[in-house]
Amino acid sequence: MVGIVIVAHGELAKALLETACMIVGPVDRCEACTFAQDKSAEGLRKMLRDAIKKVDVGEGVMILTDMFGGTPSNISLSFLEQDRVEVVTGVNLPMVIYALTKREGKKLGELAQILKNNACSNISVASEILSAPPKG
Amino acid sequence: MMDLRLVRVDDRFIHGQILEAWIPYLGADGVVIINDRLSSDEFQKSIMEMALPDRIAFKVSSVDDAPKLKDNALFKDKKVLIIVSSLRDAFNIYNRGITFNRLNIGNLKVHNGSYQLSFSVWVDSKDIEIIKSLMAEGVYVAVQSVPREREIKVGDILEMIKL
Repeated sequence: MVGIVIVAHGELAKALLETACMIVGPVDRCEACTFAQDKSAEGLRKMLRDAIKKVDVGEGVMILTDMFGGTPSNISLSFLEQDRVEVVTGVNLPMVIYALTKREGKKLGELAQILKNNACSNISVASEILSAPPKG
Repeated sequence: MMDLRLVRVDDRFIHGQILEAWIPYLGADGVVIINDRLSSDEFQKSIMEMALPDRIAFKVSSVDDAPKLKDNALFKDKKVLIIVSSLRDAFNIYNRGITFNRLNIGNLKVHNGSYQLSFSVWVDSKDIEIIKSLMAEGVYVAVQSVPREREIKVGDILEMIKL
């Protein structure tokens, strides 16, 4: 099973994981790394390294991070390793839930592609999918 | 000739505060990182380049090559943000002719056993010497992580904690 690490600005990663667990129940092999304003990038690197070690069962680790170009993403990218560690940016709640519930039996690269495609198609503008309300 | 808008000390280089706050605030269309280690790290350079919007001219320079930036055609008439990761590098480029009348300290957390100036800035005694030297040159030195946050004049803090 692919291990999952969520890392994002502030308390977002922790909140995403806790909220996802509220919906899908308790999960294994998933860690959240917070990045408060008073923390150093080096501190985050160490936290991320420990988290990767913790969730890794030899089938790869997926890092889900919030914003490409941000510090959590920059540090995540330094762990990138073919078939061992993959990074997906733009994490949101549906992505976390999908990753936690659909990772069984999937290879790391395959899961990354599914998460990306799924997240992109999961964003909708309500008025585009609902018919216009009747007038008067 | 580049239009140097701000020199910032930030050991995180390109990250959320730069992309979402400083670049829009300054209206910057050029970003330069001056750092010896990064100038030879192609992987980090390409990640930073990818993170920046395409319209932003971008270069990573070593400290020694910094003086050449002033006449680099890439930054001609560009509003430029320069980022260094330490006060030492800020002082080094100042002494090599990249002068500035304002220095912003954003994130600086690399030292051990040093003085804390804000939640995101730590300095050691060598840094304080540098700050004092720059202030003596007439440079306004302030701590501010994002433009919407109130800036703290470093001179005031040093006076307060009697350094």
